[in-house]
Amino acid sequence: MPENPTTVEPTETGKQTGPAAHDARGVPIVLSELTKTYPGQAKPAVDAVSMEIPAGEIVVLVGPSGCGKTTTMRMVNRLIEPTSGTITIGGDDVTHLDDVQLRRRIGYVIQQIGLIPHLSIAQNVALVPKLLKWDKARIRSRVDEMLTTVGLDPDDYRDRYPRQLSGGQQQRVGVARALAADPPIMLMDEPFGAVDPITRSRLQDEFLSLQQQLGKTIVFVTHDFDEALKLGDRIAVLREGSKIAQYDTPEQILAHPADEFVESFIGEGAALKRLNFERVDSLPLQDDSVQTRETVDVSSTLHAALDLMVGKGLRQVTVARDGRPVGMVRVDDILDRVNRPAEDPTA
Amino acid sequence: MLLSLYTVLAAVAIGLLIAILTYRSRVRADFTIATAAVAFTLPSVALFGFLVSIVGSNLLAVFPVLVLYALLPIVRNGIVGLQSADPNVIDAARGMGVGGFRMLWQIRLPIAWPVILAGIRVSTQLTVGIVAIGAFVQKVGLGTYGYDALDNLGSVNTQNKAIVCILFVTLIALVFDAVFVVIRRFTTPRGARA
Repeated sequence: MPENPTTVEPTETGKQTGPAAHDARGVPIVLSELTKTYPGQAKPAVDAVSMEIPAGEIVVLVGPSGCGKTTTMRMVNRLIEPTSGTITIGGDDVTHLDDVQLRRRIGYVIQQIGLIPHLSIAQNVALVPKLLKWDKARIRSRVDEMLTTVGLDPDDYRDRYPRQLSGGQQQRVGVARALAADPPIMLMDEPFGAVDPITRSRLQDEFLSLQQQLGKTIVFVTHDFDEALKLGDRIAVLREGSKIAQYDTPEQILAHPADEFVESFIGEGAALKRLNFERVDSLPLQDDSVQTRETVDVSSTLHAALDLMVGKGLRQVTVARDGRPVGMVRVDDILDRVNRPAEDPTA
Repeated sequence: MLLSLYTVLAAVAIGLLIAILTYRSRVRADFTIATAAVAFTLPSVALFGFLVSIVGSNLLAVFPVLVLYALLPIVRNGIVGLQSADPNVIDAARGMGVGGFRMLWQIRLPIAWPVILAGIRVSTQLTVGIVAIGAFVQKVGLGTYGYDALDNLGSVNTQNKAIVCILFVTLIALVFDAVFVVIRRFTTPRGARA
């Protein structure tokens, strides 16, 4: 039996300490020569993939449909048994551990959510803690804590049933359920794929800020490259057979795509997308004595600043920190940055 | 009435067992449903006669036939119900470490329960009707009146006895049905109600 990842005493009330205070941080995952060949098929669906997923990072597997990204992810919790190769989690080889026990230590979120329809929201969230035989008081306080964490008022939602919730709310419950037993790693398969664009964007933002507190190791599968750019600390662009075309930070992939396949996956607008990864205060700010009609915050991205200028027909905007002007940024400054990235001396 | 109850209980036990053993494989499930359907088309009177020729004119000739007929709706609805769980629900549960037995007992069965219960309900109605025919073999229950009526065609009480048989068989069927409405109300998890 694996130890529970936390050592929280049952009497401790999670509400006071908040989720960040005692939750398990992520551990690294290492895939080596991981291969899956389905019976009767000559070509492996996943062909000798090796990659290291650093602790506490979001690694996004992105690639066209059928490239094997989901299969790769599902081998980590052995929903699909690898044909060969090994997986280590936090240094332990899990390839031959009891699969049911293993899965209780790994968060799992899928696009269709899969809440259990006849169980209340609280019972759904309590699923894994119950399997791990936590005592009732601890489960109850953990359920409330997790619902609060994902932005649902426990008093309001605890006793509802999945069908009474909207898609976005259901996916919040899905995330709360995956986090309930405090697993150090999470597997997420297009978790925000089935909700409308506005809800998706909000869920992504909340997910990012949640991850900032939690620091889990997250394997995230999507076919949406923009989602990968937004969420990933690192992105693995996969081609058929789950072969890694490029595995790097979003900035590096945008600036230096490894080959045509990666380029085609990035699609148009790579230069504009790169502006999303730099903040206004990374530029040398101009004198703020010139009056401009619009203001951006120092924490805004260059993309947002440029968008504002294009939209308003301006050549410069004021930059403010905490609402007070600290300088000015011009269109030319941004163009210079795109064409002469700080880390690229060749331009 | 008691005979109907025993029949249904036996059929539920056997039927659910068969359903649980077969629902996973499409081939086995289809084969089982088809077999049950064929058994269902056999005329009950002929089956009663067949068993009487083996075990004689007693309850042993009646009970197996009754159970056999009661089986079909339970097996069919059991298999369909167990297969009806959303594959995503199963995948998510499996992915979080819900094992085989728990999956069946805590997830598949509760999801299938309304469908299974509907099967048991149909099965009960059938049984009440066929128990009456069983009276031709062994004089038990209300069927006796129907049997007497046919046996003494033309006598003064023929019609009365026939009416007693029909009325009371119907009444019992209705009582059982009412019981099912109550069972359904109290055993269906709130979230599974349509």
